[in-house]
Amino acid sequence: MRTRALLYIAAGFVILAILVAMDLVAFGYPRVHGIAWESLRALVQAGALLAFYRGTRRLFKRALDVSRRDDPAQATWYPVKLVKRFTAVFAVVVALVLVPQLMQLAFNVRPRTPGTVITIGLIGAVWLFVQIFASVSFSQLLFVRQHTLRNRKRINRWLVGIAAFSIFFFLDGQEVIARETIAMIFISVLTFALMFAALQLGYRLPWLPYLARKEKRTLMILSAVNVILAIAALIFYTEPTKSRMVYEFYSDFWHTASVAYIGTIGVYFTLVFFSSLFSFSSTELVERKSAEVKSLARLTRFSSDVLTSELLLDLPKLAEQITTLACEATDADAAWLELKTTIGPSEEPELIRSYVGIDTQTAESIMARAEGFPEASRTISSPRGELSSSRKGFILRKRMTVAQQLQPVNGNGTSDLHSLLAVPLIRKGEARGGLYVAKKAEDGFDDDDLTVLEAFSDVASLALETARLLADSIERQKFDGELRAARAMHKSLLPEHFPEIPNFEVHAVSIPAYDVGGDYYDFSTLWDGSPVVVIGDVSGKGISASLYMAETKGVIQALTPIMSSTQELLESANGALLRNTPQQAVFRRNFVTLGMLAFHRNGIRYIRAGHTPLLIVREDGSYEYVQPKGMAVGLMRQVMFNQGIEPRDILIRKGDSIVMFSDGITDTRDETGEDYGYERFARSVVEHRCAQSAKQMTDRIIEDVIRFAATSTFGDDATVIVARCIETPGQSSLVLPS
Amino acid sequence: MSEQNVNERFDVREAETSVSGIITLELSGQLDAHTAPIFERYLEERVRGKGMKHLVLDFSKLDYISSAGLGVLMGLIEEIRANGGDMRLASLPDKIYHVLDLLGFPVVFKIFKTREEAVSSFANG
Repeated sequence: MRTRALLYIAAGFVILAILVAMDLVAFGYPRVHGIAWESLRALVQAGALLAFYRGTRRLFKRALDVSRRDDPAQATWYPVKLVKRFTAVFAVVVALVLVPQLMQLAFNVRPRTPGTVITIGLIGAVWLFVQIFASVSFSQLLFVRQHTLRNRKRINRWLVGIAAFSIFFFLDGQEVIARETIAMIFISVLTFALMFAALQLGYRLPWLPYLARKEKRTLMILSAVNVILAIAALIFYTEPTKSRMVYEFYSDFWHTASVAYIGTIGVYFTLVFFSSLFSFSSTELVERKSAEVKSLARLTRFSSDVLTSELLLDLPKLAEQITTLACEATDADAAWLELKTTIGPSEEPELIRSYVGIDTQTAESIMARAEGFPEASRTISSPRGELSSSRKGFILRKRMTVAQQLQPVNGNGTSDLHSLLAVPLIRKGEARGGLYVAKKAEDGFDDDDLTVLEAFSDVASLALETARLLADSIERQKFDGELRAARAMHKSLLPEHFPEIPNFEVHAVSIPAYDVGGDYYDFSTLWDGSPVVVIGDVSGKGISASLYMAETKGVIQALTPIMSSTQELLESANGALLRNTPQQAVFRRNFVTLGMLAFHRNGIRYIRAGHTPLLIVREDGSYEYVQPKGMAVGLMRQVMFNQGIEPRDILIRKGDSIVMFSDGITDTRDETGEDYGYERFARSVVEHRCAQSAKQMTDRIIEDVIRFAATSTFGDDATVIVARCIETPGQSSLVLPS
Repeated sequence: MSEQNVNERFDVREAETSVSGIITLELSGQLDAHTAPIFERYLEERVRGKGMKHLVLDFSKLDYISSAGLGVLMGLIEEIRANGGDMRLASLPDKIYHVLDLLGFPVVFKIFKTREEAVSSFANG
């Protein structure tokens, strides 16, 4: 690349060397000089210029393509660098213009010796080359952050202007145009057109406003230098000086072009000078804007980062990150956010909070009461409320009077924050919370800060909501795992077989709730061999309920065979479970309600410890609920518990059914929120009392409940145990255990 | 579960009482596993320091009580009775009475129809 460039440049110089040879030959034949000869020379020089241009452009090629994002050419200071470079090159151009002035040349309109011809030829060659070099450097400047096509058109217009100007003067100089007035009109029109083209080039300086104050100062100095250089060059070009004579002799045509070109440079940099001078006042604004654009770009990049990164899996960290960014983006001293997120319509909303540079209490007092903002509180009494009702961001500027400053605001919410900017966090058209930034300075925020933060808050609330959903689904998976374990455990705790109880057929159905409650039933036998049916309901749900149920089952299974009565059994069970309950003075979560039905040889006895009552349905369709006294197990100290128990004997005949159940049955609700209730349940049992088997009976009773609930999942476990009397037990020798 | 929401669902405040030495607390909302700690904290901060010998709980505005809430009541009455005092319940809505009744609480707690009856029951010994 570079070798080819140098080859082109060398070719240019070779052509110009040939031109020197031609000039030497012509030196001997003065009559050759004339318009044809001058035209030929101009064309040869044009060929050399073209070669120079191609070579130089190759050297600058990369710099001419300036539209890549990662290019250093995108930096705001880059144009200043180009101007610096150009000024250096331009200084060389002007120096060359002045060079003939310093030389001793045998010259009087025309060179008088061949040596002079050679000298002029060499100076001219360098002069042409340096100008091409400067032109390419200049065009680089013209292309900085410009719409390339339109810019190219402008440059083309300018070049055509220079060409027309030069051609006209060339012809004029060769006295082709005879009439002086016509020439004058042409010159005026052409000069005007050229000036216009030059103005167009310098009129659009899209990079100028983005420069920092210091860079603008540098630019002004450089522009001034260039203007002075251009003026100096023009003076030496147009006044009757040795320079003018030499270059006019070397090439009348390119001399004129150079005048036009340097004039344009002068006009261009005059424009740059004044543009930078006038944009000085807006520098601060621009610097601010560019800082904002940067922060906005950063926020945008943040949003794309956040939506993929592991930040989404770490909700507190995400919230903190958002808060920190908001703080930085607005150059605030403190920032905080709160966001209410909901998963489903039935779920409780969760509040996400994050604070940077402020404590919870102060933030709360500002959000709730605009505390510390006495003036603002007249219009906005509660920033939080204002956000949720207006769904628009706002700024509170504190302007304290002297009297207020002397009396500091009392209370723990006092802060040294004097301006507040708040924007709502909106999801689905609803303000779910707010993002707040605060500054110690009074009147520290403006509308631009508001715009930036509002844009940011949209992204932020989306990210937070997404993270929340993600966290919830993970939690749900864990929960599902626990539920599976709880269900398996629950199932394993329930008996697989139903006992043989003389004169009775027994069946039980228990449907666990979605999140597994604590319904429990079991069969065992007392020391005298009397079968016992136990029903229970452990407080709580899920794994903890299952564990407590396991404990209860263990205690009852262990105690029953060594007890002579269910009353003894209950009392001992209470003692055992109470001992195992941690004695955290006040707060006890677990207890179990129990109901026990003992089938003694001489009668049936029911005992209740806080459980739902027993339902007895007679063969004739009448029914009664039996609810003897008795407190739940695991709650009360032994003495108190023992006092409360009241066993109840039950008379049963053939065809009667004894039904034990859990409150999951009677508390089941339909869509309207109505309870299934005791009466409905009893009627259902009455209706199915004559079913073929106890199993069929329980199934139908449960089916009725499911039909009522209109859903197959229960909010609580639902258990029904039916003991149907198929033969009236002999009750003549009723001797119940004491 | 947000704290703010929990605060909205349950509230406890001390009622004005003419009889000295008797603390009357009004409970409202739902007393369950989530709100029980609020009640606990309230007792810890506001009531326990005052000796807490004679306590009346007014349930008239209570909508729901769960096993966790009952756990608090149980612990509370044991503590008070250990100090030689007593806790009495007043103005129970039917539903709550039914739950307490099933679980056998009426044996342990003295339950009154109105707050005034509960308060005056202390005066009468």
